[in-house]
Amino acid sequence: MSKYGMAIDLEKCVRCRTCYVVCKVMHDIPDQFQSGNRYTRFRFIEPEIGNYPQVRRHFLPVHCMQCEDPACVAVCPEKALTRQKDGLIAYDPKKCIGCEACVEACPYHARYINEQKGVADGCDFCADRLAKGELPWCVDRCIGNAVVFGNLNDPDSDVSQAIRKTNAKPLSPEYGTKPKVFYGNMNGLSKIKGLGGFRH
Amino acid sequence: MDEKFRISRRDFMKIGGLTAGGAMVSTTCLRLTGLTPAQAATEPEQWKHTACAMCLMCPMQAKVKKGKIVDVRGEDILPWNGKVCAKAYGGIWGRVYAPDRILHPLKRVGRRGEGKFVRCSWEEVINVVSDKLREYREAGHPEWFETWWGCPVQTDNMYFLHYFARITGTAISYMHGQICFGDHSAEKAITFGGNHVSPLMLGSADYLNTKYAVIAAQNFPGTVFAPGTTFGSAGFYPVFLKARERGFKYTSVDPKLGDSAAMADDWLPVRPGSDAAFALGVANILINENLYDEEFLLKYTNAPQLIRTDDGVALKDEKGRFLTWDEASRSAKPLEKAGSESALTLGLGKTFSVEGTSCKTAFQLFAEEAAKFPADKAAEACNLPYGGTKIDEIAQRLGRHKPAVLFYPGFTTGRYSNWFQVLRTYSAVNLLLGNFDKPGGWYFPKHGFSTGCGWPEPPDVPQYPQPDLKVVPGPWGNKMSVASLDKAACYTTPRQFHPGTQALPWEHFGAIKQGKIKALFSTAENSAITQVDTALVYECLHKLELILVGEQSPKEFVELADYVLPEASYVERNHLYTATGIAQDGKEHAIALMRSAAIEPIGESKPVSWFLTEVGKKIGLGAYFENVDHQHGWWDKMLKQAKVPVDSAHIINNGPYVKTFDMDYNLSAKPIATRSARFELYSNELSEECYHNAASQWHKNRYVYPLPTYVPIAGPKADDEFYMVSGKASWHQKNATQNNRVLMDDDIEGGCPYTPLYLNAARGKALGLKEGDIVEVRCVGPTKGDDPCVADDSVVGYNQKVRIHLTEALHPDAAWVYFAAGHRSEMMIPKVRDGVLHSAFVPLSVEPYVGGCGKNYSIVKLTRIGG
Repeated sequence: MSKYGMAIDLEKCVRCRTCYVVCKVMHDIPDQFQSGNRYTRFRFIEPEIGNYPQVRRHFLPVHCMQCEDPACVAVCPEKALTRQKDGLIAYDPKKCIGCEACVEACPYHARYINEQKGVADGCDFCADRLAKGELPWCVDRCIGNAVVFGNLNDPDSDVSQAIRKTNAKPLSPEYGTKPKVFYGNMNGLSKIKGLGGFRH
Repeated sequence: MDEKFRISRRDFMKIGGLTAGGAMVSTTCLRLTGLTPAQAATEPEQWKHTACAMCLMCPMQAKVKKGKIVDVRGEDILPWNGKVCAKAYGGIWGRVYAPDRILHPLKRVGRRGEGKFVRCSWEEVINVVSDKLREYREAGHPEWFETWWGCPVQTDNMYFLHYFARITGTAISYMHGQICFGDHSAEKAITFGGNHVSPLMLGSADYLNTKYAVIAAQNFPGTVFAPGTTFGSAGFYPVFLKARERGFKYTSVDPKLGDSAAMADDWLPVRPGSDAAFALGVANILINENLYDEEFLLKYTNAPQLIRTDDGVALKDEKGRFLTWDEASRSAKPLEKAGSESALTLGLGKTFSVEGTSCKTAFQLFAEEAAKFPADKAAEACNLPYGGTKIDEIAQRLGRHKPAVLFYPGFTTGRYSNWFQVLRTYSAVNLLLGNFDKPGGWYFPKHGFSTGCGWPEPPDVPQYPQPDLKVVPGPWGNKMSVASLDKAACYTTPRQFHPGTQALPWEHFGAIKQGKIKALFSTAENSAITQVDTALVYECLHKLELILVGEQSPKEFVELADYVLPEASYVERNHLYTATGIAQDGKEHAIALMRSAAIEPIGESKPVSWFLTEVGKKIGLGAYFENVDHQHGWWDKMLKQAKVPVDSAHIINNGPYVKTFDMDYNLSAKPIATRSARFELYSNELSEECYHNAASQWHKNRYVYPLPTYVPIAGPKADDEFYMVSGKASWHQKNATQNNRVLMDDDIEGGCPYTPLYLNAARGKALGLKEGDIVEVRCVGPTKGDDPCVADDSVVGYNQKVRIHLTEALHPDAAWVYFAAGHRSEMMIPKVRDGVLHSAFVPLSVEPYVGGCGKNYSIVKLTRIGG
């Protein structure tokens, strides 16, 4: 049985923001100037670590971690979110009542409420594309080929190899949700406090 | 927000775009895709070959479904490999299909700048412009009508714009060029000669073999011109990654650690304007520790040229030839052109006597200049927090890895009044390192497609009016009248400005003030706020009789227009581009690509070449315009000129034409076109035209000293004063990206809900400032009294309020703001109106001879207003 996951090699990420823009455009997520809200399935965390002049600006793309023990699924009162056998979290917006429980529960701040539609939304690894045998948009369009998607249960899959090669780890594993997005070449960044609080 | 900028974005969207009219009306007279509306509506889904325009011209494919683009991807050729960057998507969904896209001709009805418009017809605009042109021509002054064009990859057929000017006698200026790279192109011509300008200016290098690079003042590798390629960001990222895999390391030299430059291995934060002190510090170490390439200096540069010690003038023989010292004969002899082998000497530490005249080599004099900056002193000038150690480390690394090293001052230009000398000092360090046309060093592509400008010529059109008019090279292979405002000062004796300058913006402002320019047509640029000294620019623009602006997206110049022309976007017309870059396979790729009309122009939009053609016909010059085929014929002629064996239709249907060549490291491929026929450490041109020429307005002016030198600039004088500098981001680079709702939202950069003024954290705290505080920013200089280059300081006293962001990644002497910030037009999206408008704080300064406009040269005082 496949177990899908993703590896992001931060050494190959050129910080071009293509993943973010492609995600918004291709999923037809309203821009903030039309909707008045910052809707996004994708965020960047850019911790500035150190003091002038010994400072590094790090850069991490963050979206749904497709956790094995997902906080969002646990709290959803309507079972709009369910964990499938392949490890992916299925979401049925028709069942969603917009209660925001999942948004509040996710330690990675990966979900948001679309106020116009009155339902939650978040990254689903482009389930519609996977169903057609296509890669998620952010994987397909990554300029640096930094993002790799595949079966974690297969030790020879591209994603398993990428995880080994780049010593990829989940972000803030202390949340205990067992994320399946792994970050490679993190340069000591495995634990980032206040995941929602960093910018610039 | 100034009172005079009052139109709301919602109002403008109703008038200019889709909100009121609803349906998109396809044009009836142009069929750029070759499809009728009915055919387009039923067109099968297909990928079409075109190109992006959001920074340069990455070739891309657009997936078109029922006449609408639904996806874009890179062409399947190197270096793109099917990829494009965020800006490509932003271009389609944030510009071409933006809800505030300008789709109809608009006519001003309120006061100018008030932003009140009504729709009008194309016919009305054509009539108004034709009447005006006819009036000016009858008065004997067609040059009262001027065109300002901007980025060459955004402009619709820049060659045609110049052709139109030539035929009608109207004026034209690439105004944007001078605030983009004008003094850089001049510096490269002065130091390296006209045959070697572009590759060095653009940062063309053999990156795959580079061991170590120092890259200054450029958000490398994300910001165009991405060094090493004229392809655009998406084309350079793969090369950068491949180079890194192979061991490429680099230091970013910049007051700000930019979003893309943050990938650098090392950051050297220099005080704004101190860059030349740093470069001379490096040069001093290279010379003192014998880390320079003596053979290269002797063979390819004028380092061995003899200069008199009494007056600093080059020594010449009776035939006017430059002289050098020949060790074998122990006498002076003529300096031969580059490449010649002989017993010359660099003459370090020596003084020579030639027939009783005391002289030294250019190398020795430069060594004396560099010796003024031992590492600690250079570090002090740069206000580096760690003495000279780091400068020493950088110099050692450069010397150790030469010639597989690069020392690049960045592409864009004219940051401060001393920037020309900064560029000269950077060039000097490269000359010491001998890193030209060697593996890992600068590389001059040996192949490419030379297209000419495509102008129709007799007998296809009648003999041009004024056949005896002298024309000289213009920007990007164009031709211009020598009498034009931008060229007249470049062809005097002695030259007042170097012909490599792209424009002389202050000449245009002066001409408007004097009534010598009365009507203006602006396309693909936003001089209203991108030229420095916004107060002066607005004062001038308000004097004009007529302002026409071609655009797709709201901006200040649109708001100031009397007529707004809905220009077809870059994917709604055809344009040829050629370029040669080095891809990740380590080969030269010469490419000819067509940015084709993937879709029909939306609404009533049309290419400006169509508009000007109609104007040309209306004023009785139809014979020059009516048979011009803008979509294919023009480009076919250029392809033929470049000996490309396919035509434009073939490229549109099949994708870019590419030829690949092995690298050819051969510095003798082209002659060096300087006055000594060598790369010039000591500039004979600067000496003869300016510094030692009593007839020159730049006589004895230190900014044009023939040896690379450090000229300190004015600076902050109090604890609450800062240099205010601006910069770009990898997702935002120019006019095309500035009002882009896809690229300008909060989450594209870490979720910041406002556009701040960045301050060094410790410096801010010392002033009692906290994160998110609001400060008043007030321009306090440089004034005319501070710097002789300042020509207009009317912006001193200008102030705005802004929120601050405290960062560790900024030099303490700098306050930093995005180039995009603080837009004045309420038509624009709120995010880009937030923050401060940098150009409004920059007094107009003019760099002697090379005409840089000090686009980052502003000193501001901060006062806390509130939290």
